[in-house]
Amino acid sequence: MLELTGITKRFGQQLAVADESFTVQPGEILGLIGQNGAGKTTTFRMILGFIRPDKGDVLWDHQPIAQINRDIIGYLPEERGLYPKLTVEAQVQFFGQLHGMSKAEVNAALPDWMARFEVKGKKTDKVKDLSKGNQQKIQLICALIFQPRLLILDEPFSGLDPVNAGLLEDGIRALQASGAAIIFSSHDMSNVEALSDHLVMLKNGRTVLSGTVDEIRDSYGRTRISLERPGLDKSALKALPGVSSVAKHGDHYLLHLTDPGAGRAIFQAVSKDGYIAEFSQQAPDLDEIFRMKVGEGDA
Amino acid sequence: MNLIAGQVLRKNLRGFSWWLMVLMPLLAVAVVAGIVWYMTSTSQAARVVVVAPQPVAAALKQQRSSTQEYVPVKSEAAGRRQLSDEEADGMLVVKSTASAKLYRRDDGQSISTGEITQALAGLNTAAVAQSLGLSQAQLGRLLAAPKLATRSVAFTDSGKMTSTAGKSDAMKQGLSTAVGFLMYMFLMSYGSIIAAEIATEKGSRIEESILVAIRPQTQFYGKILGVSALLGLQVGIYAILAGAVWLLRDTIPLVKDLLASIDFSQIGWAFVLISVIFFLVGILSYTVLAAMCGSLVANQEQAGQALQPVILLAMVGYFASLMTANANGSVIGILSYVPFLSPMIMPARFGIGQAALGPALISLAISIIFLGAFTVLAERIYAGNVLTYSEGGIFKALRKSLTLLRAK
Repeated sequence: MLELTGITKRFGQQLAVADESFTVQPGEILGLIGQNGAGKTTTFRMILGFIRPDKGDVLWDHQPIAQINRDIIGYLPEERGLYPKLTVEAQVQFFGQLHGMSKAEVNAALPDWMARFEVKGKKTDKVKDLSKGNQQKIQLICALIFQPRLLILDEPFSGLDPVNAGLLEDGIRALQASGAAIIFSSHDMSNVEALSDHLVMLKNGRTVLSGTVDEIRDSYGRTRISLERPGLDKSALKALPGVSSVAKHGDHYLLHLTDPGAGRAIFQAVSKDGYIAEFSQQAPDLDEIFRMKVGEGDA
Repeated sequence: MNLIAGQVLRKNLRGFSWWLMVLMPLLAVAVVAGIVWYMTSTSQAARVVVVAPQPVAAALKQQRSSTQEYVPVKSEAAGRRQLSDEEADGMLVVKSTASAKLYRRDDGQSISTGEITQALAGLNTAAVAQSLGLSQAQLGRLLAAPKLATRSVAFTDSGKMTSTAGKSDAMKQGLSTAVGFLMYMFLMSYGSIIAAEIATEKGSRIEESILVAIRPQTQFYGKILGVSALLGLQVGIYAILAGAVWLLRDTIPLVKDLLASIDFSQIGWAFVLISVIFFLVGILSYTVLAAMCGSLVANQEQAGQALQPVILLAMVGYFASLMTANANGSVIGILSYVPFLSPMIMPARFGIGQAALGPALISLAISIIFLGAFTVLAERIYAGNVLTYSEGGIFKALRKSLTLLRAK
């Protein structure tokens, strides 16, 4: 289990991370979100021991993480880098051996991993001869092949098309099933929503959101109603009690409510003539919550 | 650490540039040897026909050398015929051993008049000795060359004269210059290998993936070990080739002639040992310096900047070593104790007898102790910088690192 307890880091006068705390249990996935410069990579670097927190502790199974055998940690950095002139096989062997695998073990496991991520290329190909997407997959294999117990992925989905993002999601799920504790950062809230058991949002180094995706969304209440071809026009919808604003996109309308309790009366009003194609009352999605949090002034 | 060292070794062995570095000196030696072989194999000995009394002609025929041969003919007319038919390069007409005339063809092989004069002088001396009734023993005493013994000495600070190992100054100075040049070449090559290696890894951001599993210190020593193994391999390849040439020395005339011209007893083991140890300490010191500087730059494009301090120091050392023979001043003397410079200067000073064994050993000890301390400092600076990306330049990054180290 990974535990961060009140970690704080300053670079000169600039506060990078302030009093950050969370835990990641084995088999749990934590999504770390925030704008660029919010403190995500600094958090990862403190977990990895690249920089020391000024205050607070980073523990793995209740021991300071600096004292553990580092073979168990897998890391995919935000800025990708491989040895371009090495073959795929030599590259993965090097990282596998760095994490305690033998060459034979790497050679036995590599074909399965290449098939799982649908790498277009042979293990004897030089990395520089692969496409950018396939190079990214090889780097991911380097971080996963030794079955880490703690996996840290910094923006793993950036640059991947939806098909490859799906393959990566499957890979992360498989590692989760094997009991690894996983932390990842992403700017794509759909990935975060789909994968995360727990979510932490940082803003200017401070934790502004923490909890499961459902807990966070529910805390905002079901203040959004999505409608398709309702029996009322935009001005009539806006005039309904509890509606603060209405946005129209083709046949769809999105109503913002001041009070979630107004939903029942709105349903009756828009369906007074019978069938409507869509009525959905939801809490704001993560994307919207992210925007709202970014837009809020610092407390 | 072994994995990192192995990685450095394999990467360079698979690459072209390391092999080029190993092969270039061999190619240079092969080209020079080829030119010398071609010139000696295509040039024939000059043919000189001799018109002389029979005993003189017979004695000259015995004086044949690799560049000149003497062929007796019966008359000047026979000799002229051979000259005009281009069968001879010259005609030597000897009236007596004290007086002779040489005719040489303009388009013939070059004829050494010195060699002819020396041959005739020998015959003349023998003839005069015979006419004076001198015995062979008396003639031997008359011709005996005086013995001149040389001894190389150096003076300690208190003015005491000590005998140095030096016996042949010219040869040792040549060797010192060669050691200095070799060291300059090697340290530039290995310095650039390790600086480029680290700068590239920093630039490609692969460092972060590596340092998840191992400590920066382990990586640093692994890289030094890998580069040392490469150096050992290169020296080993040369040693094996030198061994093979040594074993075949009697079958290769060029090597045989070269080895015959060197008096190995004149070099001295102390000089060889001092030079070899200084060579290894020097290369390692510069490799550590280059590794530290490599960690201070942000990417591969700045690798040249990382090498600047290495190049500057190496140039000071190299040029000081070249000036050693002509500069007896105290500046060179002081520099020969300064780490980074001493590996190039002290062997040269020791070689030509400017420094005795004691000062050379003191300088060596200073270099070794410094190498140990400097490696620890470099390792700390490396660990602090290898994941830091500063665009402010190498010296600014170094200043920042030293401030952080002091703060710790």
